[in-house]
Amino acid sequence: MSKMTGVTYSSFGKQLQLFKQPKIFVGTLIIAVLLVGGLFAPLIAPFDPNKQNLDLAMLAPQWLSGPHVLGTDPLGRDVLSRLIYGARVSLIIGIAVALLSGFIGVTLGSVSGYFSGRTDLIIQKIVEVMWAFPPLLFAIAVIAFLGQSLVVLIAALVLQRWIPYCRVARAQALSLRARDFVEAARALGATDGRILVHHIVPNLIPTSLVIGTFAMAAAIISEASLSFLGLGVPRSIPTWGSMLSDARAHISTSWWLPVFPGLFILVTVLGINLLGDGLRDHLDPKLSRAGNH
Amino acid sequence: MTLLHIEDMTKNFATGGGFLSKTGPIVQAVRGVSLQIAAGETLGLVGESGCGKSTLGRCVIRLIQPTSGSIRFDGQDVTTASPYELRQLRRKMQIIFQDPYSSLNPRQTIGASIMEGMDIHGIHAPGTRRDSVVELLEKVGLKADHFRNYPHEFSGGQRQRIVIARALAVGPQFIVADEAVSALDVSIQAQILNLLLDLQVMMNLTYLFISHNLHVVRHISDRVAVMYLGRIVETASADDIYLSPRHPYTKALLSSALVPDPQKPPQKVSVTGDVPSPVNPPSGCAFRTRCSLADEICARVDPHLIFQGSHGVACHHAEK
Repeated sequence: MSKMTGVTYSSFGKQLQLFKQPKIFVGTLIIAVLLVGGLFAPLIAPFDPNKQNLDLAMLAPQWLSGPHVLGTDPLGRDVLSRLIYGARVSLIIGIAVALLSGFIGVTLGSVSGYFSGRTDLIIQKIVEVMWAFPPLLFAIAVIAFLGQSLVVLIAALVLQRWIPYCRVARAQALSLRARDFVEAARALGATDGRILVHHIVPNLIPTSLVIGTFAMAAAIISEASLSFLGLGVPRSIPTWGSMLSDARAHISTSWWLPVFPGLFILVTVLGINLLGDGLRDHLDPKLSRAGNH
Repeated sequence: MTLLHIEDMTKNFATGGGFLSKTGPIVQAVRGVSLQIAAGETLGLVGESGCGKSTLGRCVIRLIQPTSGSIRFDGQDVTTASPYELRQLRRKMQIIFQDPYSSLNPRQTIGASIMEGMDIHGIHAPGTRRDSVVELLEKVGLKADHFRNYPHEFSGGQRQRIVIARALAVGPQFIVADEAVSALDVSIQAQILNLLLDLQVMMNLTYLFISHNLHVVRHISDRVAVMYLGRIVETASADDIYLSPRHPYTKALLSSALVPDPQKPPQKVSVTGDVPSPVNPPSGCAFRTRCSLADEICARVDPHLIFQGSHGVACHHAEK
């Protein structure tokens, strides 16, 4: 009874409380800044990211004393502008991979855990086979076969990233299936589809959200690695990974070329991981109980 | 009028059985049970844990498919009902579980939980379902504005009221209450039991009330059936069972329960040892391994329920 009277704030207020946790606050802030930067890149970036000007090649960072704040690359392209545009690719890939693989993984995982038996066996065999591939090698193979494009890159990453969702969703669905409320729904005449949609999947959302943040970070790293190897998105699109790759030849003379893209990747992945960590802590029943009461 | 008619029902569970070995040992959870429940009556089913009473309850509403035997509800065979027929039967038979914390989906509001059955079966026009839910909430002693709350905001007793409302939402005639009050505080138990009794009168319900608590069963039941290792060993009206038990197991059960009357001399019957494994039940009478009256006939011949009037006992030595 005391619990009931304690709940006076609305559910929106409850959501706001989340941001009082430092990890979640910092993580969300970093991602929000990047999102705004990527979304409004044409307005924010001082230069066209692909505009070459060989007269101004290899300028060191001018900081606030000149137009090329973070310097230029060997072709005279503005580093800061390329970084801002690069955020677009990283975020598109991160978000698309996290959502698509989440959808596939949670669907297959919940079906696998709920039905068990033959369905489960088949899905789990697929999971084991996919899990056995070295992830980067697999992506390279897919891109080598299908050619370089943003869509192929996302598909290649989704093909591996759904697996952690699937495994966790399956394990949870297995335990949810035995809960009395699922049995009660069956006694009410609910079909398997209805039970999955109304009773299993909604209870998988919180953990999937946490896995999603880690999947997003991993996808951004994978994209950078593949771009570094020259197998990412087409060269006409600036990305942090391909900037690092280009910087390799000039690493001893122009420190700013590798440092800034590297820093951007680091901060982005850190921000997403902080958010994921914070959400996980928040959703851990033991910790959240200690925190709320 | 008999509403539920269980005839020689058996349920075996195959245990183990992995990738290579197809079947492990078989657990005989329910072994040839026959029972009848009349409309409007409450049958109390008692027995210690593991005796198969919950399995029986779940088979009756076909959450589990029995291995053999027949269950007829209102003349219709439950065990062989087609998916469509079963769906229709679900409206008439409902179940209330023991654990009120596991019985409600934590991500569903109370209103949505109660409304689900109406949605599934298309009961009431969609626009009026909300009003029906509110009516049910009030009927089970909750408030209309609990509609939007989530389960974690309620106590165990309140949750059990919600679970009862959910079961009533489809307008059932028959409810299996599987240890429905066992997880609650004693003071709350009485409230929920009285609620169940009130609802029975109000909505003409029939209950199969499963419990290990003899006092609770006596309070609510018209008739009682005592189960031991998958068998019914004694069945009679509640008063007969409590005042003149005839099966040694029933006597032992009753003497193990604390009597609130200190004047009454303590009964001496007691049992020793553990319940035998349902994987490998004893030959003859299942209770003979713990029974003080057991002799060689008990090891050879499995006693059947023998009725004197409405009082049935499955024991070779019931007269002693």
